Amino acid sequence: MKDLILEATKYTPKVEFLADSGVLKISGSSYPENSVEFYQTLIDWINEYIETQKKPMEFSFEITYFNTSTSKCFLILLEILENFHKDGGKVKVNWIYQEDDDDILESGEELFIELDLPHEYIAS
Amino acid sequence: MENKLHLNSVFYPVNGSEVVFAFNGVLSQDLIVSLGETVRGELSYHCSQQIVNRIFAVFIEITQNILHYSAEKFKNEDGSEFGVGNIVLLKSKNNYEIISKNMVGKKQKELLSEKCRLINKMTKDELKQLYVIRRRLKTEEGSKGAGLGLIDIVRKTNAPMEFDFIPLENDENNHYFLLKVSIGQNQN
Repeated sequence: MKDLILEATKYTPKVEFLADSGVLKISGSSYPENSVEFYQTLIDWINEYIETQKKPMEFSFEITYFNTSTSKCFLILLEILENFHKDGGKVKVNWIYQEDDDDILESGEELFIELDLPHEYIAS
Repeated sequence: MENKLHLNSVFYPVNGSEVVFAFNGVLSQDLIVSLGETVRGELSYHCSQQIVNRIFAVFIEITQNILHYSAEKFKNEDGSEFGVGNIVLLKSKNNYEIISKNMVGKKQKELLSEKCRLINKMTKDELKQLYVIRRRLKTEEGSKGAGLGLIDIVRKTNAPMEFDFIPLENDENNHYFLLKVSIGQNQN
């Protein structure tokens, strides 16, 4: 399976999904004109990874700003990881935030509030 | 309580406030990004990083709402559509105001009006709950948004929105939707 690498733009995050190691990361800002379209590529990759690789995954979010339509896409993505976890898959999510950015920390907490998914908040 | 805004006076600075920028026209994604950088640049001299981030977030939600939902559209040669509207950033002694105006149809007006009134009455915790619940709902087919923008705006500004609908002359199907939010430079 091929890696998924997308360079950051002013309004979409950098994407580094590595198939061999199962290390996935998105970093930067996210406020695309059409978030559903942008995140569908990521969701398709993850679904394929889960189906074909059956290996552990570590997903890191290091996002400095995201709009509300992105936040909905994050939830959809996390629900896929939650299902993988419930089916016995090994997965961990890192929510990385700038040390003094309480708002981003809080928006992470709100995402994980109803999810059964191993996660950790990491101040950078 | 519904606040009445006046179409003719709302975009002009009063009491010593100044216009940081005013825009009227087609709001494309590229333009939103450029204006957003202006917002960040201007604010970073006067506000904490947290306030800069919040005002930027509110600005993006308002402008992307216009881009997606304005009833007045500009159609590109390739078939893509952009919403048309106004957006103004005002700076006064202790706060910033973002004021926007865009056209909405009859049905949109009813939905928006109901939604704004409901959200304006809610407490912090109720808004958080509504946000979390609404985010879990399936997005309507073809919609580019999440229906969360207005909730996010009120949460980030920590105050009710001022809004009004102005009838258009010779067009009973459409109204102008006026929205005004303010954020203090020192709010927590």
